[in-house]
Amino acid sequence: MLKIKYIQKAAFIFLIVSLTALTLKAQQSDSLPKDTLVLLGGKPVKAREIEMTKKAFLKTGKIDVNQKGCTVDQYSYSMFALGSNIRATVRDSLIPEKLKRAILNKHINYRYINIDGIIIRNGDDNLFIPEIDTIKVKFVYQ
Amino acid sequence: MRNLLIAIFLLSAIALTGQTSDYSKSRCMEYHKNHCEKSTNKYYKYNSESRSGLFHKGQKSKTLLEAFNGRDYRISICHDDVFDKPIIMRVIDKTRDQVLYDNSNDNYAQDFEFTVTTSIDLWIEIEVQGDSPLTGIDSKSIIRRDSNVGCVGLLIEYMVTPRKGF
Repeated sequence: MLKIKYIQKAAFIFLIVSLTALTLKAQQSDSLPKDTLVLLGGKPVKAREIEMTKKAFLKTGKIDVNQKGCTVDQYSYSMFALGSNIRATVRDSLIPEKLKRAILNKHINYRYINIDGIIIRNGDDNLFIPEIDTIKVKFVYQ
Repeated sequence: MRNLLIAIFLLSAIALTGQTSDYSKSRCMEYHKNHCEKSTNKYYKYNSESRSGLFHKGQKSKTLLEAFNGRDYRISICHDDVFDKPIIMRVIDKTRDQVLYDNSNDNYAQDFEFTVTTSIDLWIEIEVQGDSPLTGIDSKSIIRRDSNVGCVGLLIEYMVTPRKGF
């Protein structure tokens, strides 16, 4: 009778421990670490509005993430100048040639770029929205 | 009883004065200088075409800006909290009557920076969203006392566009 009680107790503890472990594992794989940041021009973005030169923005040629195994899966961008604007969605972390050309265009001087809808893919192929998923980059002159 | 009536009269007078001061246009004077966020770029200078005004919901107003070739301009708007919806800002080519920028396409951005490559006359149009509180028609229109009116500031800054190369 005493043995059955011990077995019941042990089974109950095992169940609780297993459930806790499973929950923790699920939490780990279902969310990004809290300090996950998008990198623009190789620098972590900690605010929704930042300033950098066009050269610095294009330096790495891609939008990175500061966590190993994580990459930017897709993002959208828009730029506005007087009488012209461009807007597109990129299903990659790379900065496409079209965008590079627009940023460096000598005739239309875009003074800022809005980046939004950033989606990050982790090593387990899960998709996440980072805490800062909308960024306005104001281009400053060198 | 007489004292009570005097007290009620005085309180009503104070309340009325407080309310009417909200409608005062002078409250909005220099509003753009005190409330609009200036550029962090030290090369930007204040443009005298900057304006402030008293607006009610549903009101639209525009001001002329003569933008010169070889300059960067920064237009920013600021407003009282009474307006719950974002303010619409449009930049319109005066000659062609063509909208060159509309902040409703740009997440209702409160500031817009652009470079001018050919001198141009621009209308800067401000629209406060919402149902107009005006009752009556034309010149006999009056603003209902319970309607929300507030100040809107339009700050314009400019700088010489830095030249690249020789």
